[in-house]
Amino acid sequence: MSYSDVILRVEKVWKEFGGILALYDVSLDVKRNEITAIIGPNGAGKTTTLNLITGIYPPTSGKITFEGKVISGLKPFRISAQGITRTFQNLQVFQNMSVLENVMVGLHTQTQSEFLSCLLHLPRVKKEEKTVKEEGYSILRFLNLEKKGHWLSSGLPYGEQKRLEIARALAAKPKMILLDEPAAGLNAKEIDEMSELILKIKEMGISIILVEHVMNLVMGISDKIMVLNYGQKISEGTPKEVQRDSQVIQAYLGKG
Amino acid sequence: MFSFIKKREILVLVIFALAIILIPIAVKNKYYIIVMNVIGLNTIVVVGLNLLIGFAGQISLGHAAFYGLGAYLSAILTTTYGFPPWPTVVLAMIITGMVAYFVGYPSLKLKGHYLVMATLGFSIIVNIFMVELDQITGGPSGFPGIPHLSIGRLVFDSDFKNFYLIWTFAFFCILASLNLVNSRVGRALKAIDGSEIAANTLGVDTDRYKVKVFVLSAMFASLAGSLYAHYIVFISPRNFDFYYSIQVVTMVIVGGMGSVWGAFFGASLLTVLSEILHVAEKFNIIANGVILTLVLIFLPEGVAMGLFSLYQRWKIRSLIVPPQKN
Repeated sequence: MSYSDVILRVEKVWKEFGGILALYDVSLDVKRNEITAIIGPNGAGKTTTLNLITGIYPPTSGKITFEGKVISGLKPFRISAQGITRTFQNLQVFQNMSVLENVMVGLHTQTQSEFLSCLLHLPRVKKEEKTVKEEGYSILRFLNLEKKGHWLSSGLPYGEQKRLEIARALAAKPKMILLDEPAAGLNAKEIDEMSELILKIKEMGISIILVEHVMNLVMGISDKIMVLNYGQKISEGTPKEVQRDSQVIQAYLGKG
Repeated sequence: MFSFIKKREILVLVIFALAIILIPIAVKNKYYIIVMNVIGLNTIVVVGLNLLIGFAGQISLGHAAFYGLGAYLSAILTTTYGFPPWPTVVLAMIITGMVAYFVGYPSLKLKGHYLVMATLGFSIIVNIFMVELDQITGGPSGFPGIPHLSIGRLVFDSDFKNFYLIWTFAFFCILASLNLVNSRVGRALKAIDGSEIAANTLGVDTDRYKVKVFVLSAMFASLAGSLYAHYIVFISPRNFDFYYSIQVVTMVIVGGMGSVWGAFFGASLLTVLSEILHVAEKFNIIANGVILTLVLIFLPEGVAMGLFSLYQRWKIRSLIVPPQKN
């Protein structure tokens, strides 16, 4: 495996919250254009890992590099400018905005207009608005939400709000997308659709980190899985390798 | 959908502009014009403050100070130092904006409601300066003899002339706000209010946007303050006390947070109300408190939108035909 195959490298990362270790010496290589899943029991440190990668908080020690550049310690908006976006376990849809506007915020990094030109509504702004709106609708079309573009996003059913978060994250044209429990709370049919969608995102050439409890989904589409337990990495490998790992079975089912 | 909203907005703006032109022709009562001038000044402050409160979700209790800074800077620089009035209005806005930056930058970097505390303290300090620096500000007895604004030979020295002046500015403040709200920046501000973390992970520099909108709203207040000083030609610290800060926040909430026209509506409603209650000034403060509480509990979207949705609910209910027995 050559270095350029690795898009994201997490090196010996520790995270401490007021004396409690949430992550304990975790390292992970994420390969370009692969689906890498992070699984583990509740409280294992999965979301913490995503929060560290996206810069919600910095690691206590260790280093995270994206395409060879150190990103640990950067603010979230700087990391997103490097090409990493995400969705959230507890939905963070902008409830006060329309569905289309949500996606248009996703296009923020693709556009430039600032305060003064927006206040004066310069011709440049007008042109930008038009392209942003078209772009927004084309992303909504991809996620089958275009008919509800003008809906207030809080009016969408739960499953569609989840899709909207993905739409918004895709709008930023990321190189890598982090999905935090995209299938949680969905019914069987919706889970199938979600796994299709994730594969489609992979086809677009986007690398994916997937945190998920729905094992059918994880085992079906992941190229690689990392298993966390109590903040430590206990296993790593292909879905088959991980399923056979005795430590993983122990963590999930207890000692036999 | 969007083009429809845009067209309707333009129509409303045209009607609004026509009303501004026609009102002084139709209304001959000077007192009504004075009240409307006060509404216009308040509208400028409230439209700016609404960008901060209604869109970015940050609260300031110091806008009386920014209003006062605009007024005192214009008054002192033109009257004492002979600066030309118009450039001074702009200069006052720039200085007030810089002051707002220094107040807002540290407090907006912190999570939580530190801006409320910082602006509250700041506005009290500014008021103390207005009273105590009596060599410069005239102290508690106020600052008299401020020149009127003028364009060429046209001097804005009457209530009717000032009506056009103030409402022209109010109109353009509303227009600029509408532009901002329906833009990349406006969406980023709303996103901050919706979910700051999500906005940040989508590339919005949330700290910088919050500071910028705070500075912008302070500059709106400064503009209104300058216009006030040149209109009334006399200012005193009492015009810019803490009570005014509360009043403009109340106007934002009553008018409807996050609506530019709501800000105008809130400014009109509460200015008229405080005029009606002028006879009993103590009741004024109580009335403001009661209104604020009632609106927050029963009409959290603001009076206009709240009444509108009540009406819609009533209309839908009246459409439902009760089931009939065969």
